Amino acid sequence: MKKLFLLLSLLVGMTKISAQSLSVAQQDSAFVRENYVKYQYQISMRDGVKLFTNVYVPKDASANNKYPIVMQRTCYDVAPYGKDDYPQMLYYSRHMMREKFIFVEQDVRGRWMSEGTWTNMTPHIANKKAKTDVDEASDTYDTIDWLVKNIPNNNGRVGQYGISYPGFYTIAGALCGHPALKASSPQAPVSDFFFDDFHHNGAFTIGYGLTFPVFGVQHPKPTTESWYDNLFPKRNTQDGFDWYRTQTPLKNLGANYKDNFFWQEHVDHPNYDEFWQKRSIIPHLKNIKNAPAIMVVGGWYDAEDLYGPLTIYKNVEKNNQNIYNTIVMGPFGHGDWARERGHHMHSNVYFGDSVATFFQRNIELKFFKHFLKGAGDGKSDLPEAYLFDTGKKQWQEFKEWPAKTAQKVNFYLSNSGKLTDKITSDGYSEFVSDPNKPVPYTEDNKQLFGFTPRAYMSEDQRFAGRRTDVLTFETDILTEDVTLGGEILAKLKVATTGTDADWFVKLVDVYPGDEQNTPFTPKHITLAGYQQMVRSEIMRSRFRNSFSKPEPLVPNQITDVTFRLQDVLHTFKKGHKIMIQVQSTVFPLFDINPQKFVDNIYKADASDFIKATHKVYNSSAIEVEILK
Amino acid sequence: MLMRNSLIYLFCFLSFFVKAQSTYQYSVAQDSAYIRNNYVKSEFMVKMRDGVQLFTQVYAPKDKSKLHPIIMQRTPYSCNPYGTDKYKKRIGPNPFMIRENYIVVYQDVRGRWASEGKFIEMTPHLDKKLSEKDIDESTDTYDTIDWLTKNIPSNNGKVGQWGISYPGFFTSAGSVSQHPALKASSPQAPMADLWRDDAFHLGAFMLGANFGFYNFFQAQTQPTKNRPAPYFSFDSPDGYDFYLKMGPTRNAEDQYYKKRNEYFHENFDHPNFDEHWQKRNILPHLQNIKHAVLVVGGWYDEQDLYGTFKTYQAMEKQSPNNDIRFVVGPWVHGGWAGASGQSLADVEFGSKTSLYYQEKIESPFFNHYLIDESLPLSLAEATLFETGSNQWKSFDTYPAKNAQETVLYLQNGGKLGFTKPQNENGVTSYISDPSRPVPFSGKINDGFSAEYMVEDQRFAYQRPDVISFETDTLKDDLTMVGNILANLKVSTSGTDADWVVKVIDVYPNDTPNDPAHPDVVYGGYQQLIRSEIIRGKYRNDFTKPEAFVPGKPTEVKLELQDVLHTFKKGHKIMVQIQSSCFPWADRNPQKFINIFEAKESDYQKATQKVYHQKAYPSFITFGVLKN
Repeated sequence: MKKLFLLLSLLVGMTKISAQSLSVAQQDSAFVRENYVKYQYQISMRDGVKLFTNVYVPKDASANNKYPIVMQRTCYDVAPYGKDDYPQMLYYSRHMMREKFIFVEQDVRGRWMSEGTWTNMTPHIANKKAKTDVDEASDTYDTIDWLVKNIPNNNGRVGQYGISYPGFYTIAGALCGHPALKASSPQAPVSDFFFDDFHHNGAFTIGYGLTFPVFGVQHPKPTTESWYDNLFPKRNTQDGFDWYRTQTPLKNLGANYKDNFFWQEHVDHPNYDEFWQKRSIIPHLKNIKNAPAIMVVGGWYDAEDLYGPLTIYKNVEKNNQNIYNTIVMGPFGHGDWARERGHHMHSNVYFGDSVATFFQRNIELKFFKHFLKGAGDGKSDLPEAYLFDTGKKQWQEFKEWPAKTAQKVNFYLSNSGKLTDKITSDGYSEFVSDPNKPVPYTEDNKQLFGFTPRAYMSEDQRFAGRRTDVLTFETDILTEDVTLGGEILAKLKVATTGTDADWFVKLVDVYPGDEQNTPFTPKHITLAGYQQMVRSEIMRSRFRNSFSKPEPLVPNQITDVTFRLQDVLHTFKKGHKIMIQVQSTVFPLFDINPQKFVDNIYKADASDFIKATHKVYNSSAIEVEILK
Repeated sequence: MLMRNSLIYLFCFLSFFVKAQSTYQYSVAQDSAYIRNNYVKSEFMVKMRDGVQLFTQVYAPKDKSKLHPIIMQRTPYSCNPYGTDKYKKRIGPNPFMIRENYIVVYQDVRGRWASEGKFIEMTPHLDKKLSEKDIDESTDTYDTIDWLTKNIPSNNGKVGQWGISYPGFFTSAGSVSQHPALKASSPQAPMADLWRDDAFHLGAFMLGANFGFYNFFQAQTQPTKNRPAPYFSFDSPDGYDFYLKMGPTRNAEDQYYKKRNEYFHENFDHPNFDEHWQKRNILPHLQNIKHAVLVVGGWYDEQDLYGTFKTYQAMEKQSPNNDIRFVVGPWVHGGWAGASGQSLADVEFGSKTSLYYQEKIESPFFNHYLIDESLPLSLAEATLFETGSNQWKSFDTYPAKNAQETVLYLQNGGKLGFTKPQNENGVTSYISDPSRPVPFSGKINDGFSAEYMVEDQRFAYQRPDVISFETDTLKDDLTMVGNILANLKVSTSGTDADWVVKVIDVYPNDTPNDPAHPDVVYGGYQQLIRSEIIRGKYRNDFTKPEAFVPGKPTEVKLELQDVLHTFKKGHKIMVQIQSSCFPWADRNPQKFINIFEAKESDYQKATQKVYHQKAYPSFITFGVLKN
């Protein structure tokens, strides 16, 4: 009914719609229709494959009023597909939308209405020799080239953005070398499925177990209809934890995916072999020709792509001269900067008001305006690193990241239960890890029903620390604020009775016993003594020396297992404590290690799973960077 | 017991008006105004037979056109407010009775608040009284009733009494006073045997319940109307953390109480069920009751579950030709006095059970026996709310006659079944680590909550130190009724161990969610139905603890308190076993020792084994209601 009313008023042009009488969503929708015209194209790539492209051009674009192009390339559809159907919003930020650009949305090769064959994380071809050597960079080049030559009244400047997989297409597209590409913002970008999303340090993210139909099936032909909706595994229970138990060993999960090529690729490539290596965009982020200005965006609580934004930013920085390369990290879960929710929460923790809007208006809009409409000389008035301190709950600007003034400090894991500044003895802490009783990664059963993990990254860890299979180490109560800002390296010295083991290390902020709930804290949550997860990471011991050549552990032999946790910027306030928790299973976030070395965990039988006793020696340290 | 403090009781009354979708039509303000306008409050010191005077408040109706019955509560928790110009906002057992114009009496028991004398916990009952000096709560009740009937104008010569928790004990004790004017008593969630209910459960010390309570419940040397100052500041939203950091149980005294509270210290001086506790157990003395009694309690009473069932059963068995009835609803301690009773935490009961009880059971009961016997009273011997199916049921006798004794055996593979195990080596073991005790609740609370009694046990199920056994999916409804006897065959690598048995209703996997409880996943929910702990060293004799021989299979039997619960078709029955339940019970060092003297170094890990094999079957026995 409302749609008809709007349509009538547009046609007739007589009724003035009062802004006050419409909801925000209705206002956005009206804005799109009033200000844009939609065009659709099948753009030919250099090898002849055509990619479906929606183009939304401002009505007032003219020879005297040219607009830059802002493009998203995505594997997730560019609905609405009808030539007269307009989306409710262009871009996810109404600040960008109302600034007005020529907005372009394209289905990538092999997806939805585009032709071609789909593959995950299209390998980048550094030296292209033939027209058949295509990748996302070449598809982006060909698309940009066509757009600037064919879309009337464009100002010759193109920007690209995307969140998650579209973030990968953005950074891949930044390598295209086209001189018209002036600004790229890869947001929560996927970079390498062995270290983000589907795996972390080689451990399989079983929490993604439901997602394979989206990624592992070719569409039968260009289509606007989903071809995989009926391929999701049937869950005959609302109890997510129990369901994932039935999908272990991984063969059981695989039984749902007999015709899924992406699942098969996982099974066939359990190690970081050439298959995965060539699908990482990271090695290619060097000496980028005609590099656009890059602003990488991410969320400190991104349960899907945290490795991506940090690793991309650092590699671009290290391997390119004279490039505009910056990073923004906010207190966001995956993609949450795209949604303004007012009081900004992640899990049960309150981070302030209108944080997403601050990013969209004061950072993102500024970036694209400067490089696409403004001077474009790099004097964007934005810092090198715009990072949110998740403890102080405020934004901070840095000239470089990691900060050169940061001081490296070791926290040793003493079997007294304390974090010490020296190795106290050759003692150890010990626990039994039972694959039949894996440590849950969340106590919130509702989370386990979601499509991918999400809220656990700020969750209260008390439920875990009370278990016999989770070790805890903490400082005394802090007498002053301590800001951890930068990289974290876990340097474990461990031994086990088994021949493989996972180690899940958690950095935790322990609130004081008299902490008060905020007005926005859910009623069933108590912040007094809350043990807020700040950062965590898993390491599969078999990959400790090489991700491509796994090695069993020698039972009972003290072994070094060293790995990175992703960066933090978090102030532990006076009155709080810093805590490290160490456990071996974290289910159903990551799959369960059989704890007996088998060649391929995807092919393990139930009988391969054994209990093991793990020891973590007092000489183990977590190395952090502290900012003064 | 221990109504933690009288504020909780007050809250139950006040919350009545806050949740105003009730069938009760008056607000607190309206009731308070009615009382002020229609009653006069007087205060007296009433002399007992030994000369000690007890502070007594009387709210008497102004209306003198009729004679009025007296209804009385004797309490250790103060009958505040004091002063004839300060009125309680509501008086009597429930608001439906306010306009019936009872003479409502409140009395501070001997040695408490404004009364004279010396208070000792659970005043021992004296079967033989040889002189005026032999006093107990039944004589104080007798003397009070006698004085009231002779001194309060316009009373109709009939007296009733009621009380919840400790006042429930005083009601029980008063019910054997044999005063001819006493016509109706209602002991509700009554304390009965302090060692067995409030202080300990089968020898395990109830740490969470007792530690905070005695900070305010202190001995008096003289009458007072003022609250005592607490010994220490106890503000701990995270009880598990607080009590674990406290360390060995002795630190509750060494670091906090420091022997300043004689009542708290009695637990330390008497860990066994010795003469100190035995003489305080009122149950054997509840005999020959000739007037009408209504024993009331809740299935989810976190304080006096044992007292509720045993008080009824003792009175019933020990009083020939009696008029003693029983009501149990889906309530926490005192919950029947509250506003609604429609749900507890995640569990819904389908109707406002507390209001129903107050209006249709309690009020008619008292009105019939105290105002006029021609007032209708249609109340069965036992009126029990059947949880699971959410309906009230009436019984001619309780325990139920039509209950079939049924046994479920622990079996290999985590199964629970009706057939005895025939295998030779079935056993499940787990490591119990006192430094990481199993929490009694998955929620953060101060260590003392009633909600744990219906809580989802999946948080425990997922732990390596909790073992579980479940039936196949039930093909028909199964209604469990009465007490549950657990017979475990166990061994430990230590010389003492606690054994906690939990009986659980496992919901079907596809149970839909409920918008009224947006944070709860009901598919696979493991609702606690009943649980109990036994400190293993008391397995043969509560008066004399006995060590375990490490590794030797040993029989441990324990009684879980009554239930009336329907496990619906499609559900499963599950038993979980664990060796700690913290801080509901203090930790067992797992070494045979006086635990109140144990030091940090005495607490040790132990490997526990529960057997499910031919030679050592472990099982639970319970009644199943036949139609």
